[in-house]
Amino acid sequence: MILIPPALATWMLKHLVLGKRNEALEGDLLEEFQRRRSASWYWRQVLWVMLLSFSKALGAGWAVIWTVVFAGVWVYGLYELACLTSHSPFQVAFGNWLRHEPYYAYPLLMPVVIIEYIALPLAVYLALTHNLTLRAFTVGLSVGAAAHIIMLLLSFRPIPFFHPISRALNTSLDYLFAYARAEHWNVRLWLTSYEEALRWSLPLLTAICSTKINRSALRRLPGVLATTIRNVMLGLPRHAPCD
Amino acid sequence: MLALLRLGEDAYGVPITRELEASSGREAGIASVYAALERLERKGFVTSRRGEPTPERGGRAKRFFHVTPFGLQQVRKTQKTLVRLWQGLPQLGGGRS
Repeated sequence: MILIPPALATWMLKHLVLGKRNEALEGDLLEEFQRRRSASWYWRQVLWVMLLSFSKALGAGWAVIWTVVFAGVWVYGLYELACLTSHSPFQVAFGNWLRHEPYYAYPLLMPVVIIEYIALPLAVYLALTHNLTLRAFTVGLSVGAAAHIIMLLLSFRPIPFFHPISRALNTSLDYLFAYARAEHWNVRLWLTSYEEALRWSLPLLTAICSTKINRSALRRLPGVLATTIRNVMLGLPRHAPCD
Repeated sequence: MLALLRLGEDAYGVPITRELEASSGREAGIASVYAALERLERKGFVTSRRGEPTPERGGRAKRFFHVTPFGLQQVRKTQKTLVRLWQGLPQLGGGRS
């Protein structure tokens, strides 16, 4: 009796593995699955094949893969963290203070923001990639802080907070963000909060890019992602097996 | 490469992986084995040929690997180096098994 391996894993093996199709490897996995009869083993192997193909496509750029994963987790983690800690004493104190102060309160809060959103995750990232040196940390922090300040200036509204229009605008935005958090799965409103999360994640991404990753591998990343999407949407473009 | 030499003519992905698992006592990923074999092939240490498709493999062919004369030469060279290094090693103590 021939056992059928998990269908989703087989689909992923066919469509999400980059490069030429390795028919022999697929056959080996199927043959070994008949002996082991373990779906978890099959899943592990398929995921490993995908990771290796991704790594190969990027020129063995494990740092890039790690960066993408870390940044993705950070973006979503940050969003959830903001929701979870919105009623913490720290957030309430600073949030209330900020809300009732004029716009120039932002620079006063900036060191806290930079430590919380850039320095801390950057240090964690560098430590995990065994690259935590004073130089890497300083360069990353400087780039991240500069990018953060530029983004603040770009999004700066010159109208003072006490102006009725500005107050109305800010109230509306606050309401929108709060509503978006409540309606987490409403895509249209969720995107608004996503922009907020992305805004915070950009300095971190810039910092990571400046310190660790292989830039030529990063340039290949859009092509690799495009190939993956094409494989999923249009089917396999691979006609000849590699062997 | 030693696993290929031990298996002889029947060296394809599955038995190679099993051989490595039996020798090391750890699980070996088939994808990792292929990645290593492809690197060895690029360096000219091994070559591969396609077998016939079989129904138990979903109609997919096997890919048999074997060591080239150049690869065998490198194996012997490495063996000599290892033997020399072991001979020069003082008596090991303190560890178990």
